[in-house]
Amino acid sequence: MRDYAEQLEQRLMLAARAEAHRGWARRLWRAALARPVAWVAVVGTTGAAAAIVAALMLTAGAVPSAAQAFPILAKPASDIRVGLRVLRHAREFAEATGTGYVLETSNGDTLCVDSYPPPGLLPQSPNAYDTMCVPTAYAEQHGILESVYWPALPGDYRFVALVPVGGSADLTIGGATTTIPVAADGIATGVVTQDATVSLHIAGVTHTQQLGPDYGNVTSLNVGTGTTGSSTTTGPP
Amino acid sequence: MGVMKDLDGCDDAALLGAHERGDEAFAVFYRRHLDDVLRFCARRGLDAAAAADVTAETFAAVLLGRRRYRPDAGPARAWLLGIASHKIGDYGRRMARDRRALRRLAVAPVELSARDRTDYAALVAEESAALASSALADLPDDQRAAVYARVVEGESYEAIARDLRISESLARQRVSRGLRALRIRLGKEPS
Repeated sequence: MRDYAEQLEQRLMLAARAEAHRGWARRLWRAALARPVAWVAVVGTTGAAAAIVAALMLTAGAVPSAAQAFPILAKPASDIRVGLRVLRHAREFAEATGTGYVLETSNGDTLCVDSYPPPGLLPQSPNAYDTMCVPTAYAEQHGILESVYWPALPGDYRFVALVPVGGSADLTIGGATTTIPVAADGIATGVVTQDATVSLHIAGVTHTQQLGPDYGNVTSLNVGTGTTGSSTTTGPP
Repeated sequence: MGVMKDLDGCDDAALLGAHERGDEAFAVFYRRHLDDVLRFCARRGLDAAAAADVTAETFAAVLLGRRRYRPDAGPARAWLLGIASHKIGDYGRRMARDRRALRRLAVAPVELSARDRTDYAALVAEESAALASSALADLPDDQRAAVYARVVEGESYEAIARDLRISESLARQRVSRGLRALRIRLGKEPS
């Protein structure tokens, strides 16, 4: 069972790392609650996602260390207000059906990809968002692959990938594989309505994530942490 | 490598409870016990695909619940196989793959290669032989001798009766009772 053993170990290790980062995010969340400045970001959001934002607010002076790997980080960062959130050092990108943001901590060690629902989709949750944060060094090797499911859009399974320079992405549905265009800023995004596999090919290594009805709103296989800001979608365990 | 070396020397409880480098600690635990779980599945009669599913789901459940392990409740291996036993039970009851823990972790199922299937078949044969051998050894002397002569050496009842200095009907009875006892011990027949 060597092939099986190696593959399963690799997948469980990635999951274990993601688990570790969720713990890290939860610790940040608790720390954020203890500091008044964080409340601005906490209101209207949930769980670890707020902690990430709080951490971003508590830091200052961006040092975009990964700009070479991710062209979007070469764009000027700005502070963007979205609902009650203020995204520090954010870069905007176009999503399949809306707007997303790449955020970077001031010391450059963590990258987040934030995804927002289409405007007006969740009037009761104006601050709903989905975020995926990973260590920057990890992102440079694996990319960031975030799957997003809004229950108000049943059957739509979205993905947003931040692909490092030189990487590529493809989508496999029913055995047929198609290339996902990667924009100049490194973003690859789309929506599927059936079981599919999204693969990122980076430096000769393939990282995959399955999404669709059989997989639901899953946390990416190759990410450090998967958190959801929406009160209506799956949160961290 | 130094860290890995240290982790390799850790006991199971330390690996499961590790906060620092928890992912590496979990990998050491996984490598240490993967064979235990696969053999456990083989002994329970699972086919290769089911064993792969149950094993993956078991370790995913361990990853999610490893902080709940309490050393004073027993060895980690027993705890692990307890989880595997539950997963096998779920699998049997639902006749469907239960991948709750895997889905929660977003771990995609691993497809078995041809080499994996061959390896698992060998493992099943090994476990079956070990089980049968163990069960045979547990039989009373008279039954064991009769079963061994009949099943392993292929002797006729007449030859068995002659060798054991018993009647042919008694030889048949001992073989029959011995085989029934083996079936019960191997879980093929209710006691």
